Amino acid sequence: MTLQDSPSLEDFSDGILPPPDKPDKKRRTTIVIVGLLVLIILLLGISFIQSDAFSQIAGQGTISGYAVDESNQPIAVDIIIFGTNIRAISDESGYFEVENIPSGQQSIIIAFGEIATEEIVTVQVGQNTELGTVTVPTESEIDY
Amino acid sequence: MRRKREEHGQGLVEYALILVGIAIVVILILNIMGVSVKEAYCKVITDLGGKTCEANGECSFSFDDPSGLDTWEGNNKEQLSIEDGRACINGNGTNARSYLNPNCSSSLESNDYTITYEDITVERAIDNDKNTGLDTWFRAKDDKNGYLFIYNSRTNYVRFWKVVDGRWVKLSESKVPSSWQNESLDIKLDVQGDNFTAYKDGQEILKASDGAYEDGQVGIRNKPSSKSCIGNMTVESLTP
Repeated sequence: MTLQDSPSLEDFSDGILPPPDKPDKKRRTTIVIVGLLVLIILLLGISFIQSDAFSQIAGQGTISGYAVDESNQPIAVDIIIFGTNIRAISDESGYFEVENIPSGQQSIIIAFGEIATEEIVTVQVGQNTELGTVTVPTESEIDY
Repeated sequence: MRRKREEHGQGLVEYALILVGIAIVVILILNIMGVSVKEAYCKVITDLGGKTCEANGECSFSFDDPSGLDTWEGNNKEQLSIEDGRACINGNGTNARSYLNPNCSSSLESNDYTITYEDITVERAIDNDKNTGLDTWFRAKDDKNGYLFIYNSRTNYVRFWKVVDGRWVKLSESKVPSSWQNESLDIKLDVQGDNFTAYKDGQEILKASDGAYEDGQVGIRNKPSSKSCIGNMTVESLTP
């Protein structure tokens, strides 16, 4: 503050003036902007949690199960984890175990030849999710 | 003596920050809810009486001359031809043939659309035990990944399939009258969100739900032993 802008002694005749209040409107504006920023960060967090990248970072799990045909006989099947490059095959007894599946809800395609069935499972980090015995259609009409 | 002028209220920068913040919040909420911002904008424009909406795209196929087939892609394109103003696919008795139209898919601004076929005829061209019929690809990545609505005129079924790496997962099916084999069919498919509905002559014939594929191409597929022809085909974007 320059000397010319300094208050005169007359300004202090009634004592020292209290500091001026910050204008209410200014304060409200600050609160709104900060509130919006917090909301944006929160929504970005939710959006990230919903993303595929999050499930990759969050961890991976395993699924396992047995595949049988309509007569309850074990069959060899192909396993496709939808939306990933993960593929596997079962053994002769129909048993399959697929590792390194991103955690979260996954669509598991279990195929005998060209015909397939789908199981929707929630894969838990570091855990094996048992699908149990899955009946895979082998005699369905396919529209080739 | 000069006193420093006090500043009251907001400046333009604060107003701009608030507006930008509100816009980002709205976009993020729509994104989390799975609503396309473009489609939401289009819906508002349409409701406000806007004449055209960018998201309201349409592909209309005319088969009056051979150039009407230029935008269709697939192997063995010699099996696809124009006959009397209609697109016809001649089966070879061995394999089904798919023809996708990436141009149409890219001109549609929405992944929700209605596919309308008029004057479809399906006849057996090869006398063997293979299937006959005409199918529709939608939200297809290629001819091994996507959704199929099929009409099987040998078994008299319509079905919705999800195809993953060439593996077929049945979503729904319905038996249809064998008289369809001798009819000229008008088929409409509504693809909206996770819900798919098929109509014949305006009557609902089959529904299915699935959320695996959110976007992709439209296309046609002829079963191995049929000769299938289409009079007109239109794909029209739906606004939510």
